[in-house]
Formats: sequence, structure tokens, C-alpha cells
Amino acid sequence: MNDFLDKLANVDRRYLFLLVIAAILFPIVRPLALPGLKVTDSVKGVYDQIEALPAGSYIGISFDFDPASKPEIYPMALAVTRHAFRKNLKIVSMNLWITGTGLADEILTLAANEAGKKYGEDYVFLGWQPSPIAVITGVFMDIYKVFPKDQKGNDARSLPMLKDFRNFTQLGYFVTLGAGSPGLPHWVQFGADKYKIKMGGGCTAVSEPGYRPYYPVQITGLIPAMKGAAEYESLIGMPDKAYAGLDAISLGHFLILILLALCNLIPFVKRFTK
Amino acid sequence: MLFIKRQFPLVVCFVVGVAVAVQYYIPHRISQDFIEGLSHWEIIIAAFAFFLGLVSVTQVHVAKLRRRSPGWGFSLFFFGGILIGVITGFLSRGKQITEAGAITSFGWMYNNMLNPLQGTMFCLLGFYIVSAAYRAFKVRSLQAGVLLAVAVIFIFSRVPLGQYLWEATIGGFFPWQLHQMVEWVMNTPAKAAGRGILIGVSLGAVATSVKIIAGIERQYMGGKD
Repeated sequence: MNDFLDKLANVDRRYLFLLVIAAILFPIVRPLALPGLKVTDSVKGVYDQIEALPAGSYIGISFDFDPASKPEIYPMALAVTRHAFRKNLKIVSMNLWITGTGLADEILTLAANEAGKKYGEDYVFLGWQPSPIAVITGVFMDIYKVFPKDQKGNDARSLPMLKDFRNFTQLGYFVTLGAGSPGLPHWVQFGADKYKIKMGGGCTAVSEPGYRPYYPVQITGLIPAMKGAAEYESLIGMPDKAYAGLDAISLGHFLILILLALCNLIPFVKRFTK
Repeated sequence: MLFIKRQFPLVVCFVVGVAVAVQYYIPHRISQDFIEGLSHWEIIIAAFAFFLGLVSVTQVHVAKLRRRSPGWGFSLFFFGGILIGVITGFLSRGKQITEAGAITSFGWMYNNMLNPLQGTMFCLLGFYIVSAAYRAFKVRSLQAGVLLAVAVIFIFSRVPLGQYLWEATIGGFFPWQLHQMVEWVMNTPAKAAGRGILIGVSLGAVATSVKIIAGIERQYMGGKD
């Protein structure tokens, strides 16, 4: 008995990796539709602000993430963009992470095509510039000095949507969907708080406790990771990738719980059987 | 020459540091124009810093190749990656999709190389967390027990299945739902601790900034103190 328990306690980690793969892959291949998703106040804090904006208002979205955090941030970025288009808001978007430019472009194009929105009239993507703090400071003063051209190479001033737009202080609401630094704290410290702009954010699960101190004063809401994204998808009534990933998250977390229980029970059982 | 190397950077740091700090509290057009111009400068300098970084990292890898240091083969991959990235970037004019909607070579690299590679690196973390938790998360003290209990409650609250199971079993004994309780923990004690840390870090940053502006802290110049 003790030999078996010793083997179990020192099991080759590759078997644990196989269990993780199984726990994550199984619900993706065969969706289980596990129940229990509850919408939290912090996610609703972003949704309510966008919902309250009148059609035609400007909304700023900064896609501050890269492919490494795509599974966590991409779904919420898509959901927020879809929500903004559905409300007929004008999206002024950019990104602070150079490797995220392609993802931001993809999200905007996908959501715009779904909603039948036109580039330059309903949304613009300004792209990326180096030195994030200078960029944040700059876009709250004069976006054309920071982004003389948009991501497509057009003269930013020539875009019809930006005809009366000078800087981010004209935004009805601003959202940063980010995976770390530069990201939400920089937008709060150098932009939104100084210029009194209402803003919200989305972040990875690991960043959530660090960003909580800003909620609900400096930020009206916070969308944490894939679960937050699934909540947002359910709020806008468009379940997508985050919603589909919830089963995998549930099983993955429960696998950790089972393993935690097992590793703590083994020494106890060994002592008892002695 | 010595003035340019030693005193001049200190003077620039002092003048710009004080000006930027004071500017924050002056809502005047001149003050706005000043920070606007400075931000513009910073962006241009940062763009040039990328070239400097490229030169620096190239020197490191060239030296590795010359000395045949352990892992020198990875340096070849580095140069290969840079070369392919730059060539495809120039050919595609930095665009991932053409005006006609076709994917460029640069876009193909982004979607089929960078995306899966970065995603793979990040997801490996999940496997190691599971393995590490199984090996190391053992309750050997009261503190470890509290940590484990909190972890279990949070895991239950963070996944829909956990919330469902909680409510279907012991949730009825509590006046609040699990996600409400965890939201309270996150918004009250956790936030209080977080704000305390944030204020402490910020005060530390202010103190360090004052030392740099005053020329007391000079490590950025490459010296000892």
C-alpha cells in the first residue's frame, strides 16, 4: 500500500501533463455546457457604461496584448468591439504592444464585417507607436502628433470619422484590454485620471488582483480573463470563444483541486496505514 | 569633454525632471504645448532606441558565434528570424492584409509562426503550475492551510462549475452567493492591501525620482552611485 502511495506521490510529471491535456481538450472536442456562470458587478461596470452611450459617441479601445495572452484577452476584446458596433459608436482604437497589432486589426475587421461597418467612417485603427507613456500623454492632447497616419498608412486627419476629433478627452468612454505593462495602470495614471475620462479595462487572471485597487473609482469596471469575457459575451447575447472555453476552464481548475486534495491526502493515509 | 560626460546629463535630468513635474499642475496652454512637444520627442527617441537595441543584440550574438559559445546555434536562428522578419516586413510594407483582403507573407508569419509560438510558450505555464502544485502545495502549517482553503474557495468561485456545485450543495447555508462573497473579498480586504502596496510603491518611486532629479542617484549614467 505504502509503495503505491509513494509511487503516486512521486508520479512522473509527464502523466500530470497528460491529465491536463485531457481535461482541457475533452470539453473542447465535446462541449459539456456546464452550468453556473454568474455575471459579476465589475464586468457589468464596463457593459453598463458602453450601453449608456448615445449612438455616434466616440469610444476608445486600446488593444494592449500580444499573441501570448490571446486566449484570455482576444474574446473580451472581440465582445467589447462587437458591443460598441452594435450601439453604433465610433471606435478610435490603437495598441501599446507592437506584437498585438495584427490581433487588433483582426478583431476590428471581424467585428466590423459582422456589423457592416466601414473603416474610416465607423472605426479607425491608429496602430502602434513606441514609448507608451509618451503615446498615452500625447493622445490626450493631440492624436495627430502621435499618429499622423493610421495603421493602413492613411493621413489620420483625412479620415471622415476623425473630422471633429482632436484628442481622447472627447471620448465618451475608454477601454483598455491588456495583458500587462504597458497597460491599464499607465492609462489610469497618465490619461484617464488626469483628464477625468471614464474608463474600464480587461485583463489576464493573474493581473486582476493588482488592478482591483483602481475599481470602481478610477475604472468603472474590469473584465478579468476568459471568465470575464464569457460574462461579457452573455451580457451582449453573443456567446463565442470565451463561453466555449468555460468547460475547459472548469475541468482544468477541478483537476488542480483533485490533485491538491490527493497530494495532501497521501501523507495522511500513509501515516494512518502505518 | 568631462562636462559633457558628467555634469551635462545631470543638468538635463534636473531641468527636464523639474519641468515635467511642475507642468502636471499647470493647466495652461504653454504648459500643455511643452509636454506635447516633449512627448513627441520621446516617441522619436524611442524609435531610434530600437535601432540601438538591434545593434546591441547583434553584437552579443556575433560574439557568441565567433567564440562558438554554448548554444551558438540559437544565434543563427536569431539572425535568420531577424532577416526573414525584416525582408517580409519590407516586402509587405508592414501590412498583414492587402487592400484586396489577401494575406501578405508578413501576415502569414504573424498568424502561423508568432501567434502559435507565443501562445505555446505561455500555455506551458499551466502545465508547470499543475505539476508544481501537486509537488509543493502541501499543508504543513496553519498558514499553508489558510492559503489552501482560500485557493480552493477562489477556484470554486472562478469557474462556473464550482459556483454551480457550491450552490447545489452548501450554498444554501449562506445568505450570499459564492461569487458575491469572493467579489467582497476582492473589493474590500484584497483591495485595501493592494492600495496599501500601491501607495507604498508609488512613494518609493517618488523618492527614487527625486534622488535621480537631484543627482543623488546616478546609476543611469553608468557609474556606481
